[in-house]
Amino acid sequence: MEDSPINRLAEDSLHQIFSSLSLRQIMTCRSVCKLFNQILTSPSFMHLISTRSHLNLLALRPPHHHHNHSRYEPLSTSLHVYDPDQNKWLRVNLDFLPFRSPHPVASSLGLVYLWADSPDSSDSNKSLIVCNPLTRQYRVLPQLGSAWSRHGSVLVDSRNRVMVLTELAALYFSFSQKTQQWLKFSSNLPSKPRSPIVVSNSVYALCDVGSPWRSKWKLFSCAVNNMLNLNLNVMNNNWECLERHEWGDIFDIMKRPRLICGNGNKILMIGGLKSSYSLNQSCLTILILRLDLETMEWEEATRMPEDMHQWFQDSKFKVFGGGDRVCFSGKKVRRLALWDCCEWRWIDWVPGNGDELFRGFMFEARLTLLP
Amino acid sequence: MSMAAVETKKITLRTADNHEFEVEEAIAMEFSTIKTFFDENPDASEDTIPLPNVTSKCLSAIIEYCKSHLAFRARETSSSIDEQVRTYDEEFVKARDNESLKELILAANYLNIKALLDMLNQAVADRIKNKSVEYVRRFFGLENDYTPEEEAAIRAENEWAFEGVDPDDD
Repeated sequence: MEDSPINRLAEDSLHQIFSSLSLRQIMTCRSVCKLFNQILTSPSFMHLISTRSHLNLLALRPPHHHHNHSRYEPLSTSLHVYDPDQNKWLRVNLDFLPFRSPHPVASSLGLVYLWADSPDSSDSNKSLIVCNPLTRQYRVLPQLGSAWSRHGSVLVDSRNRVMVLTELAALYFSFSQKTQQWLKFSSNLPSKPRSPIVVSNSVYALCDVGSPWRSKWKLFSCAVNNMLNLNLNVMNNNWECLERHEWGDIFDIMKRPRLICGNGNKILMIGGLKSSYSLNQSCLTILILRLDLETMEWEEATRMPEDMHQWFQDSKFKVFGGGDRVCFSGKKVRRLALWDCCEWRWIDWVPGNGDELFRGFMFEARLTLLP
Repeated sequence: MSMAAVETKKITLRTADNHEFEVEEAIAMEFSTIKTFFDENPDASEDTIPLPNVTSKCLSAIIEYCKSHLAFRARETSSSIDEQVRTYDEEFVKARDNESLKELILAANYLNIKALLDMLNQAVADRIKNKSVEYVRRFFGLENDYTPEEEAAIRAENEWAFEGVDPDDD
């Protein structure tokens, strides 16, 4: 082994060779021998590839059950992800996390955020964990009351600023701020924010400003920077309602709309296309609209084909994804419907017992370091 | 009265297996290691430079490569020249077995010839692309020094990367 020319091959050469291989192959070659493991996990190599190789995956978020963790034990030590390019389900190991049943909720730039029971604490406290399942590094954020994990939506922007949104308040955490603590802001939204998303460092959400018997949806936005109002005595996040006269009644044609990040500076809005304005009419199809945040114009991105839509007709379904990929999970459908870069198809072999409604999020597998 | 012919300056290199190579100065200067040596020792150009880490087989291939690339660079750049360079590089690499490729990398690294090194590194990457772990071991001549337990643990950690990958038969 000492005579092997590989030992004399400059580490730089090996770094260069491996940096042009796929992320998958880089990970599998860690098991070639201990020397390779060392070379392929060295900080300089990680740095070299952290911005280069990544995989765009769709991660599942298992149904939320606080009371009975043990029922979902088998799913809990792995992150179940789907690779749309290879049409394959993968399990990403989370066993390096010393927490019982960690619950993944969001991801940004290769880092996954999960709720878990706070270490050294009673059951009523939860902590948000940030980790990279590929490098197996993790960090625990300051703990929060369990109400936040039950009712809050976790959002992370491209600068790893974390927010937990609820109807009345928002929590904010930044790894780069001096005090490593959650900051709390009251919210001036008219109602509970629906499907909040972060696009280009602003948060967008839908709010129902209608009456209990007739929804009226409007789009609200707030720049993340504006959450941190310089006047510390008035810590309100400044949500504004986005509307344009040209939009007409675009929100009224949609049943139960929700938002997903589009590519670049765009938002996707997904919902059932109502056949008429009467209440409780069945939907013609599921419509995906796209809003260009620069021109503030809506266009139709696509509609779900009829043979797919009949599976989701009139029942509740969940939507997740991002960019050019939108995934639909329906109760008892047993498959996921996927709109993948302009094509509609089914995803089979969904983990679990098939009856569950899955939420999920985009997961970019890459070797980023923790902030 | 005779006109003295202009002589191109030649540098003598001696390989590990004691072969001497006379190369034109221009080619020797492609080897950054040698160029740096001459920059620091301008009077040493008459001496024979020993290259204890390079075999004659490697050196003659490297000299060929540098000669050809110098000739390409002397011509006007065009897409057809680029095409010819690409073809030359492909042919240079194609015929060589894995051992020679590795030896060439070591030599190019020692002589510090960046363009050649980049090209060879890419060639190795292309040869091991999507191959199994066992293939990569054999290519680099490595022994698996993991215990069965250690290997199982490391595979389990990265199981998603192994899923669906079949070991190849060669």
